Amino acid sequence: MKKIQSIQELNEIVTAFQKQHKKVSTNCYLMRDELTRLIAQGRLHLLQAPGLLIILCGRPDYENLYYHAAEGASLPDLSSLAAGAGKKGDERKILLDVISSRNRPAKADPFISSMLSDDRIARFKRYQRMAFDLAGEVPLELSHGFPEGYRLMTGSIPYAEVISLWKTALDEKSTPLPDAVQLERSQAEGTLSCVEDIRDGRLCAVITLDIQGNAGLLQHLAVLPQYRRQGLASALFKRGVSQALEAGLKTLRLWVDVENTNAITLYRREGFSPDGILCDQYYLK
Amino acid sequence: MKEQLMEILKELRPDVDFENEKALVTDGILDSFDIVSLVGELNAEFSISIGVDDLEPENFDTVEAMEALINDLSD
Repeated sequence: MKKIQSIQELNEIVTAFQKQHKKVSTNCYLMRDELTRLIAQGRLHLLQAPGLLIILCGRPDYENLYYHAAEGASLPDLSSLAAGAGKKGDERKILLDVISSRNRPAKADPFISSMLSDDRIARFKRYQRMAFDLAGEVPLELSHGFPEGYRLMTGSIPYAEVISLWKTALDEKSTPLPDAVQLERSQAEGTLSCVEDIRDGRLCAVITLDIQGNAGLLQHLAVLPQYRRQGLASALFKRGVSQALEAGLKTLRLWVDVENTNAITLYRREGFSPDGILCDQYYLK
Repeated sequence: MKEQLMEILKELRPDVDFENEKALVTDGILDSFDIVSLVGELNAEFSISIGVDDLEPENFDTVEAMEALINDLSD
């Protein structure tokens, strides 16, 4: 396992690999600026095996697996891969995202097909992306008043409390949690919204709006179990949409587990609809 | 070739006005998940190999830029 030091290095390795093998399939289409950021953060590691380049991308709680695979390639020993991805003695989960379009199903990728028939790989979840039509008619009722007894938390928000709430209420595999620096930035930008219980100041619900260019991604919407069914998620959600509108964004999206019907019902009610992009997530056992 | 490209784009994201948008990636209308689906399709449909170095917003910001990239890689 080797840490990738520069885009140039990665490009040379991938180009040489593509020249050496006739048919190469890949799921590694990270845009240049994202690659630059991940390399600068020391998050990309490369593993070379016969007919295969594996690129592991370190997230706070797991690794994402990207590949360039020649015909007939198969996964190397996964235990060494899992151990190599983390610190010594620390086996981290490795996830594979397979992206597809509902309207235009991709042609079968032989490497994906071989991996999916490998009993070391388990299916995790399917997610769909939903988008809000910011250019369309905006619902009249977009106030984000919170239910009685709750209010927006102001001032310094403790990172440990937010992380603890997310870890209680969210699925960590599917939701890469931001680190302390990212969270601090979100707080400074006002894109981290937290709700507190007025009685004791306890943090009960959170949402973030990640802005890239003119697009926003609503994520990490979480409500502690004991505060659910009181309209907090809906109120936070409306706040996120209002922020996107105020910021003049062109696109606002989110990802949701296709089996999470409660969440999908909420998102549809708030004006979101599926945009056709799907993500099937698998993990290495 | 443009017809083929437009067909792929419109099926991938029927909600996007590809003819008129001039900053598809820069504006975030297409994100990395769209690019994953799109590049795989372009590689297969046009028998090209879009490399690490080609994954720049300016190559995907407009339909014309995508056409130019496909042409370059087809040579």
